[in-house]
Amino acid sequence: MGEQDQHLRVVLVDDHALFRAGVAAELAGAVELVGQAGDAPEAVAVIRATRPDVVLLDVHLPGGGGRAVLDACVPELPGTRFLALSVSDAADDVIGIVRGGARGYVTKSVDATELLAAIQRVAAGDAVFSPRLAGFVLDAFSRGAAPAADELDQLSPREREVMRYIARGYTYREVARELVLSVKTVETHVSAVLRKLQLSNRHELARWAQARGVV
Amino acid sequence: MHPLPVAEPGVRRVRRSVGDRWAGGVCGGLAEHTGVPAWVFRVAFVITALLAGLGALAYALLWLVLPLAEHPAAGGRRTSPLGVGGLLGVVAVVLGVLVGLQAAGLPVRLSLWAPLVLAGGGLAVLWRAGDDARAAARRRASQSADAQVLDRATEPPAAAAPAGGAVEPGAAEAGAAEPAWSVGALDAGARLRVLAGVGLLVLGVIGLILPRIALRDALQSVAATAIALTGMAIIALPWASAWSARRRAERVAAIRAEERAAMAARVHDSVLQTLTLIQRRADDPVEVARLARTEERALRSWLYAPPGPSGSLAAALAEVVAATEADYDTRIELVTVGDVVVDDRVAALVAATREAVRNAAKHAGAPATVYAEVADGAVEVNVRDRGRGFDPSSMGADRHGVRESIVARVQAVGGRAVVRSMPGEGTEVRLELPAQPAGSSDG
Repeated sequence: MGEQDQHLRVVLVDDHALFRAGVAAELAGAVELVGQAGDAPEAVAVIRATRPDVVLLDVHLPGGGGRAVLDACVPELPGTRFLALSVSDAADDVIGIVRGGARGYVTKSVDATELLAAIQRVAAGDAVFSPRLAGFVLDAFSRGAAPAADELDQLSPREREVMRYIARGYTYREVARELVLSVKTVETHVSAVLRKLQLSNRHELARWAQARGVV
Repeated sequence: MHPLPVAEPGVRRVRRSVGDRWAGGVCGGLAEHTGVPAWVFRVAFVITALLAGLGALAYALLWLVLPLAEHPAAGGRRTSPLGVGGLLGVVAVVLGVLVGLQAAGLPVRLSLWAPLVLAGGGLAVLWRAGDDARAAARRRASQSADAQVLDRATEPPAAAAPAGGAVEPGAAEAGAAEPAWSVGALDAGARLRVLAGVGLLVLGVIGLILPRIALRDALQSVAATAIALTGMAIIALPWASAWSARRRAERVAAIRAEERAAMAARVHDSVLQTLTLIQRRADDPVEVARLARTEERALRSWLYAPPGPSGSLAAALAEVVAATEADYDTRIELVTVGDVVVDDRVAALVAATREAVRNAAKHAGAPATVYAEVADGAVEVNVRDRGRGFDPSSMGADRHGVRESIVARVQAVGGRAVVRSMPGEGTEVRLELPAQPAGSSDG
């Protein structure tokens, strides 16, 4: 979380104007809010025009959902990172949006400091895992004990350990202290898990993602 | 999900009886409605039937007009003394009486009455078969009343049956408005009965017409009619199949409407009420937060599947978390990986978790996370808050419960409990239950 001297440029995408206003007020002064959008086509246009550092992206959006925005923007804007926001705790929502290219996921009940920390972490290229997302990952990668041939289909013991601490509610810093690692190493592990989450062909992931139309 | 009520509540309509019936249940229905014994109506109809068939005509009209009683299973299942076979017997007896009367020299115009009786009997048999099919469909529907509406809505549209509009067994609305004439709805026995009815009817009609016209003309007109009918059938076929497709679409739409109504009811009953309460308690932020959280949780568990089947660890923990959130002004996140059936040991673990969660809610003054993992039969529950924390070596009087209600409880079932806390660092309670040696629980 080094480069906070110049404010991060953020676009906020959510179909509830009231929620956008609330988040904008909470983040005011901490980030530079360069654009807002209420549906998927509008979001794509705003993101293309402003090329922000981070997009806060609602999972459920008119016009194709958060997935449509990811599909349109992720390939052409490698510098823009996406952080998913949702009221839904459903696994297919969460896994679907992460597999669509989001680098993290927070629920809308997250408080302002946590949200800001998540934005900064995503902007730095790391992944943001909520306890719930870590729980989903552990669930998805633990079922079917048969050793998978593909490295992508399995968590390393260390990655699993990190995920379990995050699921218990530990911050990255606390995980690092607990496992006697640097925070950077923890972030590396989490990013590796994110990559597996996005690329693995594990049946559970495919099933969850399919339910949201993201494969 | 139950079939939509047919009659407005409060209005008592005459319905044809299913339990107390000889032919169509008209007399039984009238009796149930008026309180006058059914035999009075029966005698009245028989007598008036002798007056140039008036009674029979009235009976037939009532049979057509009155709806079938709604709850065939209720009403004691008094089986009717006359089945379809019985109706055929009645026809035979009446014919015999007519022949006998003529033989006795009475002026009975057998050539008129015999076909009429045959045709009337045929109609009665047909209608009765239709009633039976409808009643059976309704019974099935009420038996499978809790079948998922969604399952019905999403089932693939069956190939359009050429017979047209086959009544689907179990379809709840089958009893409401569906004329259960369609042959596809009936089992083999019912088909036989329908065939018998049609046979009687045709015999009666032929008997009525044949003596009155020349045979050659009749054959010619029958052939012409058959050709015309075939032509019409060919023309009508696409219309018929379109009609049945539309009916299916309408049914799906009706199911959707039912779901929307359920959603609206839910929104009205709980969400709107809660919003009203929130406005009235707007000056009490704690209460407002509590109301909102309770409503959110209720709505969530209604929209999404509840966490785990009842009797599972996930469900038990969800309940603990919900109850604690409702009692204290706090937010608790629950994450479960894997699941297990709650037996005595796991129940002790859940009870200890409840204490830990309540302690966190009471003392921490900060959100907490509950994490439960079941792997290879071993269960771990971790309760962590980032609240004030405390020094475990100087536990106050109110912390006495920790040893008794958490640590001792888990140890009693062969588990392990570790409480870690530092002032300012929050508290963590880790409860572990090793896999049972017998391996009766499963991950």
